[in-house]
Amino acid sequence: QAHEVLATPGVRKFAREEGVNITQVHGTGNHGKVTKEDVLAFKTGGSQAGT
Amino acid sequence: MVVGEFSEEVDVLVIGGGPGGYVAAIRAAQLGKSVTLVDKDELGGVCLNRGCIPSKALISAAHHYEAAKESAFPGIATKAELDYAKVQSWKQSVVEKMTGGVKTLMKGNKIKVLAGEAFFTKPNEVRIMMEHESERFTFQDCILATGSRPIELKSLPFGKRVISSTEALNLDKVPDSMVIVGGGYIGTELGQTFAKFGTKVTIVEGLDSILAAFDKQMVRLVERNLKKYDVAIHTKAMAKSVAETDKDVTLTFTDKDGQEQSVSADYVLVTVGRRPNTEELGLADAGIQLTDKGLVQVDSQGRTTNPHVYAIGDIVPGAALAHKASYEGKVAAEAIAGHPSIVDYRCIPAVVFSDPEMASVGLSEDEAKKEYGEIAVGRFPFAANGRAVSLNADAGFVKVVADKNSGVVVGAHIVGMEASNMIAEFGLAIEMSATLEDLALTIHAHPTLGEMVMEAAEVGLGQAIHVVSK
Repeated sequence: QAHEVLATPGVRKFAREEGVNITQVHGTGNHGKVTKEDVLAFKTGGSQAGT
Repeated sequence: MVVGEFSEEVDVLVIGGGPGGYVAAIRAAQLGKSVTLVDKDELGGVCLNRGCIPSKALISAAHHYEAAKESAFPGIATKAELDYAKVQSWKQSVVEKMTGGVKTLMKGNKIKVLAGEAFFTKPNEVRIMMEHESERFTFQDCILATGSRPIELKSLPFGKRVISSTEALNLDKVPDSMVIVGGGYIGTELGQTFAKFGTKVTIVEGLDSILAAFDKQMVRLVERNLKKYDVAIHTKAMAKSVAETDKDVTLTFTDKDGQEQSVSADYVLVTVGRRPNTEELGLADAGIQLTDKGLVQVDSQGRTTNPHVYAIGDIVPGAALAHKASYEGKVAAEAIAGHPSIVDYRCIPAVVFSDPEMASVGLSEDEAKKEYGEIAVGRFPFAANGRAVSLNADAGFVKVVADKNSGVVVGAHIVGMEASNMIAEFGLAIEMSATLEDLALTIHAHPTLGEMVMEAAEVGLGQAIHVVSK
């Protein structure tokens, strides 16, 4: 569930608009919080969950 | 032309003008859709006409009357007079101001408003029964927002003296006595309000506590104030029957010991819950399925089993709250406009306008323990807050619940003056995945009630300033 991921409402919306499943994104923020940059990195084939 | 033969085409049809429906209509219009909204009653729905707004207006009047009648404020003597007819007409003016505002918003957003009752004749067509005619409308997309109505108990049918919240809000004078069946937030808010106006109130609740969904420690403070007004509370009690006479009505119930009791009053107010308005809409003909609880089945965008019909608010699963309906309305409108919006929230605040106010958001302590194992709890009393004491309002506390491991805030519970406003900061904290540290490091203005958010976070971190850690 997207709302269970540590990410602000704005970043969750950004991920939806970019077509990224935020639950798959590795968060680099505080306590694993997903940032906008994390979403973009995932989209361009960067980080994966669990890596 | 034969009435009903012609079918008018509309882009987006919104059925219901409550806080879900009218917000959905506005957002759809903002996104370039041509929108038609139909409602059988007044714009604004239950919330504006016979719910949130009128109840808060009466609560506010009762609070002022209480303060004037027996000022609890040291050194201030007052003499109060109550003109309830004036209170009622003022309340009505508040309602009219707010519903007038909705009308203006509809006009401003070029939304066509129809007064009538809609039902589906085909998956993409409704018939709207208006005052003098009926007309068919074919829609591209439809948002169903028909809301809910008070539940009527078979054993206590509504009548002249057995009433719902709607009639209770519109009584033309203060009753001498009232029995309230159902001590949820509606029953408690109205019961406390009438008690302040001078009504002898008795609450009959089936569960083991009034306001059972809320933190027990919070409820205790409300109960204490209810007792001050001589409100009798029967818990684990089952209402059985009523007998009406010209002069009064008698409710018979079994108390927690299984003993039968009866109590007579001017009115019996039944507030045991609300039922979704999903009947007489022809939903089945439109291919719209219900859940086994009688609610409309929807996906994460609010789409029903008919891909061009969305449903929001009290007719879909989740808390029956105005702010949830509005949120869902925006999601549905955005989905219709092709946006990838979904229902995606971490929490919804719930507020009771009791005295003192209660507000809650996110997980309770027990729920958080189950989810996270170890939790951190920070509780800060109003009695240690300078603003609260200077307001002569030192009853209450702010409690924050966090995941102990990460410090991420997952719940908050407030009882006390302005709890309804203070809860907003915790809602944001939870949505932002803020930690106790984030709250504690944010400078809060002094002296304010809002400071207690920071102080509670500090307690949760074991770094309390204004209370001594045990």
